[in-house]
Amino acid sequence: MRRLTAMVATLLCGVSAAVAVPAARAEPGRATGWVITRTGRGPAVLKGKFTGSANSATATAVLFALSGRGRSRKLANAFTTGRIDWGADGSPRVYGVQSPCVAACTDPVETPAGYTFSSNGHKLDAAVYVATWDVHNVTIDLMSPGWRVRPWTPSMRTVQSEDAGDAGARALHTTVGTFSAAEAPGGRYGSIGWGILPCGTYGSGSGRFTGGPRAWPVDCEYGRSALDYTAGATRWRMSGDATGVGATVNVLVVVDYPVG
Amino acid sequence: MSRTRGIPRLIVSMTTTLVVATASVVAIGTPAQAVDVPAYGVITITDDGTGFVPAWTYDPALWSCSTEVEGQFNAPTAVIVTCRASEGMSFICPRMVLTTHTAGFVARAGGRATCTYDSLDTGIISGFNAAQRTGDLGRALWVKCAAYSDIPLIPPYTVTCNEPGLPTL
Repeated sequence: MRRLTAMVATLLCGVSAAVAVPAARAEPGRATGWVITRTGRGPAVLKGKFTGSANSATATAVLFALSGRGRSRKLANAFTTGRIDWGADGSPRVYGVQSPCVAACTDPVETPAGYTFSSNGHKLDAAVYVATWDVHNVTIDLMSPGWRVRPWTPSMRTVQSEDAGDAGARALHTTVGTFSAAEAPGGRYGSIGWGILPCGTYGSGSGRFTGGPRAWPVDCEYGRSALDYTAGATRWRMSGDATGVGATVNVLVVVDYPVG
Repeated sequence: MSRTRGIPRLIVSMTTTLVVATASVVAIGTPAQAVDVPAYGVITITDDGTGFVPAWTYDPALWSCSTEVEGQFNAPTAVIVTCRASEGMSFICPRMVLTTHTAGFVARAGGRATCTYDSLDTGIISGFNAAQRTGDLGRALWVKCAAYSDIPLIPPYTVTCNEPGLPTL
């Protein structure tokens, strides 16, 4: 695998020396969102469809539901929390080296996405938040009565393999690299964090995802992603040692809870 | 007569209720304690050609379920549903049944069921085909059910991860 990584890196660029430290991107203009709330009283079943297109290979969307108020807010389990990663595409890119941008540094992937979200038949008494990063042409169609959608500006951070001190390359829908760690802060009112080891297609290694109430083991073979949430401030961290091939470039996605 | 027959049945019913209730209390009361309660439930990922639909039967009071979609979106390479036990709880997967079913000339999908540290995999199948694996997957902080492929998933397909035998009182 290391040889494969080296080959891809050499092929695409042929440079040297690893740089970069774990860093989170939080440019507000790239984060857009929506909140879905009840129009009537009491819980109700929710079903809807999210569609959108990616502006870049790092595009992602997180859908989650919160019940309660203030520090007692928690993830509403009746809703199926969701994450969409459009995945690597377009221009080749080598990271962990001094000249990471091989061709055009923009990475457009005009790939319309469709995702049916639901409360899985359960009645839901919560607000549903849809946070997107680098996604455009979003539509949210509600198939259940008694719910409405309004815009929301999420505070969110994404960390990509290439910003996390890793070495590797991505091209043609695939990342190849060696992962070490990634971290990002959560908001003061709480946040949801999602960590993903970049070895979905093939690879080996393991790690831990921390920042929430429990430390979650992650492993390339049995479960390379973990999700957790917390009602207070925290620092999300995906630590581990993994080498592999994957279709995604995001290794950590954090969405802050809104004020409330 | 019917009353004397009903008493033993009532005792059995109450005992069963007590045992299940005790197991729940043990599970809730002790942080991260593994209890020998199977992770009864079914997760399915289906795509009939109109888009994939994840579904699960786990109790939201004890489990939190999420879906991850990876790859090129119009044709994802992986759809993963994870149901994780509430904080302080873990279960076991003694009889996991994984089934992958493809139902079209070009359909293509693989299935994988994981209970934290062990997994079953049907491999990738195609055409009009079905594959099934069963096994003891041990402890379960979470149950993952995945539909995946080496190239994008091609519907129609269904992947089912079933830990059978919901207790009935």
